[in-house]
Amino acid sequence: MADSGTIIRLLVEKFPSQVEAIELNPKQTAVQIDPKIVAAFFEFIKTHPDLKMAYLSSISGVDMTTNIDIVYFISSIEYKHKLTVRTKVDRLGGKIDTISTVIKGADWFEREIWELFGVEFVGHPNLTQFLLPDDWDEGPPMLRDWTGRNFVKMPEIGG
Amino acid sequence: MGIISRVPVIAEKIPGGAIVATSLEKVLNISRASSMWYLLFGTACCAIEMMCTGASRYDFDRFGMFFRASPRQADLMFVAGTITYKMAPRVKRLYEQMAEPRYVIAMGGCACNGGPFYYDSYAVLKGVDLIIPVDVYLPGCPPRPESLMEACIKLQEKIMHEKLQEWSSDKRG
Ligand code: SF4
Repeated sequence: MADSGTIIRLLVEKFPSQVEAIELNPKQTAVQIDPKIVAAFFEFIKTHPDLKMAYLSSISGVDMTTNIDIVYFISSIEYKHKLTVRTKVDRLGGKIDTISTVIKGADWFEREIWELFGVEFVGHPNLTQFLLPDDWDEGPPMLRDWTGRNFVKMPEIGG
Repeated sequence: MGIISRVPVIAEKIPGGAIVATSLEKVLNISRASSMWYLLFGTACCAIEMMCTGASRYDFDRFGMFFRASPRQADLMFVAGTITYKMAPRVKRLYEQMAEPRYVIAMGGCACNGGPFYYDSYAVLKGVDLIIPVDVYLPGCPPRPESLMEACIKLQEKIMHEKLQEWSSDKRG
């Protein structure tokens, strides 16, 4: 099992200036990466003999109002270490390379983010309607300023 | 359905026919109210409470109620859980597949009006009464099994007051 320092050192050596460590908490190793290198990055951490991270638990999207953060949670079954990878894409019409060519399990997560946040995953094999109703035509609903289909905003309480 | 709702009209012309009609009405209502078979259908947490009510501790069977896994054999539908816009057409379809007379109990806040998901939700239908008619509304998140039984007793009372002439779904209030 590689500790946090070793993992980050390996990554920074391989991708200098495109990877930087971010502080979350002592138990969670986290890095911020350049969106251009995602596919190469995941290929590297999957195949490197000291990392072998191939188990993708989840991919999240976060609407930060200035941009959308895509957060990957990946770990290694063999070494039992894990890594959180953050990357930024544009808020409207954002594009990022798919990692489903490297890790098959990313397919549905990416499709879900495409549907709920409108981020396009370039090279994804099947970016089609997924979890939303079949007749949905009101755009990605998880954006913070989205309103549509009988949406009722929570009133300010006590204001 | 067609013939039975014409019985009172025909019977009233015969001397003493009204007695036959009201007795028939009563017998039919009792048999309906005491064997409401419900559809085995639940979409969220409320369904757990529905299962609990059906299990031995609360024992729905003593009301003559037990679940059927097919809408064709069910008289009653508990809308037990959150109905999303994606689920809504399926719920409607299940309701339409049930044989008449059919009854609906909207169980829990979600089925009554969207409940905890009323605000800030893009996915949840704001009340199942927007797509199908509801007989009894049962608030709670989730309602206790006792409340669900109370709702069934209320529905039985409602069935006991049905008139023969109204034995068709379009006349039901
Ligand atoms: S009313 Fe409450 S318990 Fe029932 S389905 Fe909705 S959230 Fe779950």
